[in-house]
Amino acid sequence: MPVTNDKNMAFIMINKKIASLLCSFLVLLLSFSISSLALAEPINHRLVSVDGNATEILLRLGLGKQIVAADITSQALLPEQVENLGYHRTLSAEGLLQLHPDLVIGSNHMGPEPTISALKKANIPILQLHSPTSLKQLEINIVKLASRVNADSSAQKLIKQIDKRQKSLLKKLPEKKPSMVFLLDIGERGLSQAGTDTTGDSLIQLLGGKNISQFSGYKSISVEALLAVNPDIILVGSRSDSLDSAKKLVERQPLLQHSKAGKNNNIVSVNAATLIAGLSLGALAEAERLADRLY
Amino acid sequence: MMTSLTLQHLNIAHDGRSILNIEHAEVEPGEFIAVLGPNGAGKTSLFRAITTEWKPSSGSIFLHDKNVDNWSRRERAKHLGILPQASQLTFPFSASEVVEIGATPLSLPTDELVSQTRFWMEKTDTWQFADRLFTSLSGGERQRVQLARILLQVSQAKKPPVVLLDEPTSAQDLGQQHHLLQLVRQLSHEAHFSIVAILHDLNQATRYADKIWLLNQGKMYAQGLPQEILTPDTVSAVWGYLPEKLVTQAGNNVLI
Amino acid sequence: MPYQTLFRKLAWPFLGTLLVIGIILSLTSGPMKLSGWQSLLTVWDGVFHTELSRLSDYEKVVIWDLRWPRTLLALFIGALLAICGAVTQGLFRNPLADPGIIGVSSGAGLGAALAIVIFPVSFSVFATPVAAFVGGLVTSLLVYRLAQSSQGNTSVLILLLAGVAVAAFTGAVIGFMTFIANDQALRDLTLWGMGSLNGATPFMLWLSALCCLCLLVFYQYCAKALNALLLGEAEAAHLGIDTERLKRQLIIATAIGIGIAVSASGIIGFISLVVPHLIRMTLGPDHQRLLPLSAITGAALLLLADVAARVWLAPAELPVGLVTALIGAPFFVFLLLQQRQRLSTL
Repeated sequence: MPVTNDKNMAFIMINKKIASLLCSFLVLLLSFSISSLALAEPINHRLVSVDGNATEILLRLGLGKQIVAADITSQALLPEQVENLGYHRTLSAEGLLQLHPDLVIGSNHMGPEPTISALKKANIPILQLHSPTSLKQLEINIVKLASRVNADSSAQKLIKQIDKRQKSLLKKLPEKKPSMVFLLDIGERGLSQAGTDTTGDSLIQLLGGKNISQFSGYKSISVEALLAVNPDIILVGSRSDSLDSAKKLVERQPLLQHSKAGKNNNIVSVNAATLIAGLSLGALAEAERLADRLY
Repeated sequence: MMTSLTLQHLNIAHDGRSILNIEHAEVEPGEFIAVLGPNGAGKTSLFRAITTEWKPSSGSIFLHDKNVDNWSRRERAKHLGILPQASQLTFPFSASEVVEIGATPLSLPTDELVSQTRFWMEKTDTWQFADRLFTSLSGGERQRVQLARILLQVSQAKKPPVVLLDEPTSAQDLGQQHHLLQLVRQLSHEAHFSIVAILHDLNQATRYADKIWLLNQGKMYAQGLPQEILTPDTVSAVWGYLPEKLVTQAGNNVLI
Repeated sequence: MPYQTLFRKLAWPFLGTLLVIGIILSLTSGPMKLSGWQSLLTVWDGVFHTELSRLSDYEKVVIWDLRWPRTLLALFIGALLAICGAVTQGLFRNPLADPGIIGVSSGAGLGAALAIVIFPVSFSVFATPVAAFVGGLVTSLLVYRLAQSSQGNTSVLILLLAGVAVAAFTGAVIGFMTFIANDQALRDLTLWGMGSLNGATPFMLWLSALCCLCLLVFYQYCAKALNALLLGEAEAAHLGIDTERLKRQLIIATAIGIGIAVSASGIIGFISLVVPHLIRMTLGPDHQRLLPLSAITGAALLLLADVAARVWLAPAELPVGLVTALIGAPFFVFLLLQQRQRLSTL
């Protein structure tokens, strides 16, 4: 422990005084600004979000601090840990009630049914949003959600921003629609391709591509079939944001290097975490990143 | 004369092959019949037919002048018991619990069940291990416990019951063999039980049974009093072994 | 065996107390911290229409609408699983048999998988229990029919083998279902297989209560015949029992019981295997005693396991089947080791 002499001590004392003065001034300033903000949005909610997409919207609306608990997929999005409610389809009714939430936000898939009816019985407002498959739906969700948490003005800003981003994204897209496939590499069990009603497909639409898969849901596909279709672009979902899934896939299946996508260096990794809860803001950002990378 | 058990034109076939053919045989109340014969003569098949386990291809079996098929299961069980050769029991029942299962077709009040169980276990010399696990008993002990169970089962019969014993002495030591046959004989003579027992020892059959049914190759080779049937000649004809006949000091015939 | 006499005397009060403790714990514990005494008063109020509890209306909803039905569900499902297990073990004269043996679990699993994967989410909530029940019943009847000879005798050995074959087949179909399932259906399917008391509707609660009480009465009525059946089928027949009818009735009753339990709560393992086994080891195999005591123990154990499932990761909750397997499997190994000496002599 360093020895402190009197001089030093005095210096620290003065410093402290100045600091506290400064602090109180700042607090005063802050409280003013907060009170002025509070005029616009006076209610501080206790929000529970059990849908990653909704959590992302809440964060962008500046309401992250109001989230008191979230489901397991939302946890990674939040800057700090809140209470974990587990999987959004096996929610515990008492676990939710115990939080005394002002609003529970989830997707149309949240459950189980008895938990939802218990929430209704306890007069806890629930907002169920459809998992969006297009930016249009995402915007509708933002409006719906914002109206419930008194954040209409920030929602308008956010929507404007999305529209702007969509327009600039559109400009980058090539005229002729490239054929695309979105793959999930499931290791030993092979490859799984995203069908029509998946978020992977929504991502392809956003990138102005044409999904080679015409059926619904995820279906397995062999490398041979993939080579036969020979898409222009191969998107490979990655479980982490390390984005090395494309590299790994090509290492494991060197044949893919000879495909159209392989030759043109168009086998790219996608952060699949952004696609878990439907077409989200994260997915839009991922599409922008991919557009820059591909076109 | 009322009979306990009557076999009439009995013919048993299994897998299309005739196994047993008995024109006529009957057991009277209080009679102890020993069923003898070489292996494969049809002794066990006979028991299976009597207990309705196997259906005869023709002919009929009467229990107290009523076809065995026409008895209700429960009433028949009260009048017809069978001691199996071996037991499949693997669950940890105590010996007395096994005996109590004999009361399944009866409706005894609890205290009576307890006293009856004790009575029959004492009779069969098994009461001393009433609380031991059945599975921990020796083969002979198990056999006697099972006998107690069968005797309890038929103890409430309205008409003299029929008890079938499939080699009841096979696992007993010599003393217990005689004790058991003595008990069976006593039950038949004093309580008018009709006993039909498959035995192997010809001398024990001669000594305890009232009558012999001698089966050979699916036929009733001979039936009647032991002394008349069990002659060296018949034994030789059925088993292919010519025994020597001796007379004991008490005046009994013995074949060795 | 004097210790067994002592155990038998103490069994009723001991297990009864365990059950009461299970019920009280289930009513007083959960993610929400509430006064235990007030919680119990709330249930009293609800049952006897009094107004003694001083909890807020909000808190009363938690007790009366969440914990109370869930407690009842755990009670009935636990009892149902345990008695069905006891009867299956008796019926097959095998202390390690499980109701799954007659194909009811695999069939229910198949039904649930079809419902979860094929139907859309909103519909599968209701379709899953129905499909699980129908699947369980149909499969066990099929297994039973396969084991019947032309003379109408049921071979226990063929029944076991048919159960294995059917389980392999349903396993393949479930595998195919998981192959074509989307991520969410896959996750639902996995969670369903782990069992939970979270998702049951009031209708399923009353159905399992009714089924549990009916089976308790019916099984108790068959208890003596089940004892006789342990001696062997021929011996049971000689004791005046219609063994074919008995087997048929018991298999159908068990298929219904397990089918309802599975459709209400998914697959909850080990209760049906461990509980009757435990009671039999300590108190003997007499079904007249085994059945009611298994019911009480099964109910108590599932209540306690469910409390653990709710409190462990609160406010999230674990599938209760995970807890029963976690506790049940090592406990079962312990029992086997304890009894190895004796079992090897059987």
